[in-house]
Amino acid sequence: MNVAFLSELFMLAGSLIGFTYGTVVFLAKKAPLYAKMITGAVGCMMFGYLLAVIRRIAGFEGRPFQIDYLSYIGVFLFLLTANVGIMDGLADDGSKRFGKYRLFALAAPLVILLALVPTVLSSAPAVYKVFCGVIALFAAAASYFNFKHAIFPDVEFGVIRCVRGYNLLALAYAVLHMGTLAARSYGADTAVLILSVLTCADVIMILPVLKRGIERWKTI
Amino acid sequence: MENNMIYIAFLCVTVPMLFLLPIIKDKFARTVVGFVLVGVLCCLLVSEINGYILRGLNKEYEYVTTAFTPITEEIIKALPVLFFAFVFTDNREKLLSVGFALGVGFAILENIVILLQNFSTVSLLWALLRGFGAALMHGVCTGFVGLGLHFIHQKKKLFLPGSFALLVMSMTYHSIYNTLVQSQYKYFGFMLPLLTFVILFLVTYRARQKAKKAKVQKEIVK
Repeated sequence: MNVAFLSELFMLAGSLIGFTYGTVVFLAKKAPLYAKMITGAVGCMMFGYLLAVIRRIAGFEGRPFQIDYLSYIGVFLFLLTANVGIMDGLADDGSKRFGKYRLFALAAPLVILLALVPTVLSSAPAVYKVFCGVIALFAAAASYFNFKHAIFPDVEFGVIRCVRGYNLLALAYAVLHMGTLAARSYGADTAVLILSVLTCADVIMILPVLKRGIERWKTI
Repeated sequence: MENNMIYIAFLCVTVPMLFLLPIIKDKFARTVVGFVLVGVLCCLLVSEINGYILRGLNKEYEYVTTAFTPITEEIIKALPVLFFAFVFTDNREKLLSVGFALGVGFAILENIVILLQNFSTVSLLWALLRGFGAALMHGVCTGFVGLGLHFIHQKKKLFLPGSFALLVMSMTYHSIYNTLVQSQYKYFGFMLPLLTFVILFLVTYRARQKAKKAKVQKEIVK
């Protein structure tokens, strides 16, 4: 079994465990829409990795464009939508007093975009680079809100404070994903394997940590 | 899908159903049948687009069907459901029903055309696999988009990115199916929509039972 396939299996296993947990805990029960959206993100991740694994098993590789690139965009769109559409308005009233947090949160998209530089400089096919660029844009947007919600004081309701752990894990996922894309563009299989093990652990933890945070909403 | 065969099949399916529409008394049943018809029309549109893509990519059938047709098909199928959700209702059951109906309508014309193209080689097993596999897959994909729209309809800010995220998920699912059925593991491919349908049905059945229970309890309290 080659290392690239093994790393895809790790990521599939992590997202499959995460999605099954999310389905049982959030989708099958009455749960906040926020949690359902994040379960959707993990589901999108799972479908993307499943497609990558199946394509490899079926021997349909070596094509410049594949749909799993879109599924990675879907993951970040779900994460972004959950934070922008549901949570952000609860903490940030747009006033000047929170300006420094908004500014500081820009560090996350900056890191994501910096992680794209090695991919752009590599000798990977142009289509791959373009898609990595598009994925990076969505990852940067999602990570801005993840980081912002991780550092935001949230003095009025305290709702976002409870889900700081989740936001940090989601941010870590974005960084790990960009790292994986960069390592892939150089064919660095060992790095991809290490990053995939970390991604697997991160994805398994995301939803249980979110659940713990959501349970604390009831005590506010 | 070459020559005029698809147009002939389209007319054969839609014209009788068009006459059925005004006869149906129940408004929602009429909507569901209407969406089956819309699904048939979507298939006609998609066949033209897919034909161009196939020609553009030198008829690389496997590449086009795993990487491009899921995108075109899911976008075209989702548009009427999005319109319905945006303009008419955010009701979970209704969105799931019209989504599923549209997918089934799409699959009906697709199956007929594939049958006509492979008339000499098809068998009963082929019909079963197409019926339980591809047809159900189209229904499940669009039904899932409809179901997801119910959730994201709750907040205006969620609508655009949420719709796109749902669309991406259904495209990926569609691509998984297309990849599996063209590989040596095609029977897993045919099982996938069936398994998803069972889960979808159980979830819907449970929700219906809960709603029924809640209604009875409300009446008792009254």
